[in-house]
Amino acid sequence: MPSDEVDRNRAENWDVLALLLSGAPSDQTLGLLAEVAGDETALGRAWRGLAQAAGDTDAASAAREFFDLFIGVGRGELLPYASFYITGFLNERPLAELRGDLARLGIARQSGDHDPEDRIALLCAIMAAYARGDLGHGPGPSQGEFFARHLAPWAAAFFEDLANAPAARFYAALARVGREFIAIETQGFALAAQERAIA
Amino acid sequence: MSLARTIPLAVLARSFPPPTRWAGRVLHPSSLMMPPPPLGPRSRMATTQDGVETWFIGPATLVLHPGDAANMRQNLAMAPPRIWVSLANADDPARVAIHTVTADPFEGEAMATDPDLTVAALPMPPDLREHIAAFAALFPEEERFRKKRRSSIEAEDPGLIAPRILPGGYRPGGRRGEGQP
Repeated sequence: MPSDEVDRNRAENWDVLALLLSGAPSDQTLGLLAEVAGDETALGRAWRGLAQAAGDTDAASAAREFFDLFIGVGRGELLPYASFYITGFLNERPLAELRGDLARLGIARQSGDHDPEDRIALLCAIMAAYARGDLGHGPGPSQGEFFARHLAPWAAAFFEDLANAPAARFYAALARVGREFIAIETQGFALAAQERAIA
Repeated sequence: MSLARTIPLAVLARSFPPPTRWAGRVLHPSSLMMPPPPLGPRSRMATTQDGVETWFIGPATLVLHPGDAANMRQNLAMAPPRIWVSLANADDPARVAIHTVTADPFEGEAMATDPDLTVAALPMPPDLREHIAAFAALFPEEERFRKKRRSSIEAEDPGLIAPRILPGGYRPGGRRGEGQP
């Protein structure tokens, strides 16, 4: 498979994760997801599971689920922030380090956005931009460095938690896609680092 | 409720004719007054024949903090006890301002390292001495400083860190389980 196509698929995977983790899906999004087919690989099976789950739910119950998981009363069942997963507390050093990297990449906070930047959805969106080739040309970390610093320490644990959260139905299927995809990305970046070390 | 006491004072300063034409006049705190004179702040009170000017800098408030009581006792043991006064912008009578007035010798001497301040240790007026002695006697025990920090036991106690997954049925309102098997 040519590298372009691999990167396009990676970007699509990251985009779907970013889209569904940043807000509840609409009926139209669910309809499109339900049509996705998957092959017999682990990731393909996870995608088939997500398509099945998208067909079984509707926008209203997905929104309810999203609220229970990520918003909640007081807090949601999960706290999808890097700082919380790495240190046990929100807004700690991992967030500060991420802000430094975002500043070097030239990514600024939109006015009115009060959610900390170390949320999973934003990190996935940045990885998608890297995979599309929109990022990583100027100063700032390469995509491998960015992934190793801000996602690798906790993304697998987060998707494991999302798969096991009490309210998760549709999102448990998304968590399985995320888990498989993160595993592939982790291996991919490790291979790339090995190749660089040899070369 | 704060246990600190405040005492109103007035600060006078003197400036001497400069020894050379390149130097300017600098105001040095010279004495304390109680009560303040009926003058506006930064007013010249007198000029002697040899050019020594006396200025009323303005009213000040001496604050006695319980935590400084031990230092005040050390101050009172000196002969004579002193009040430390520091002025900012002491080279310009139009802008001069009282920075700090304190009965704590350690705070007073610490200000001496600031090049922007003119510090003087003035003899403590006798009335003030009695007042400060009475205040220091109220706090015979030196308060120990205790830095609050998270103990290692607390940091290791997983119960004190928010759970990664909120357990089901935790939330008030009982919405959980609606329409679920």
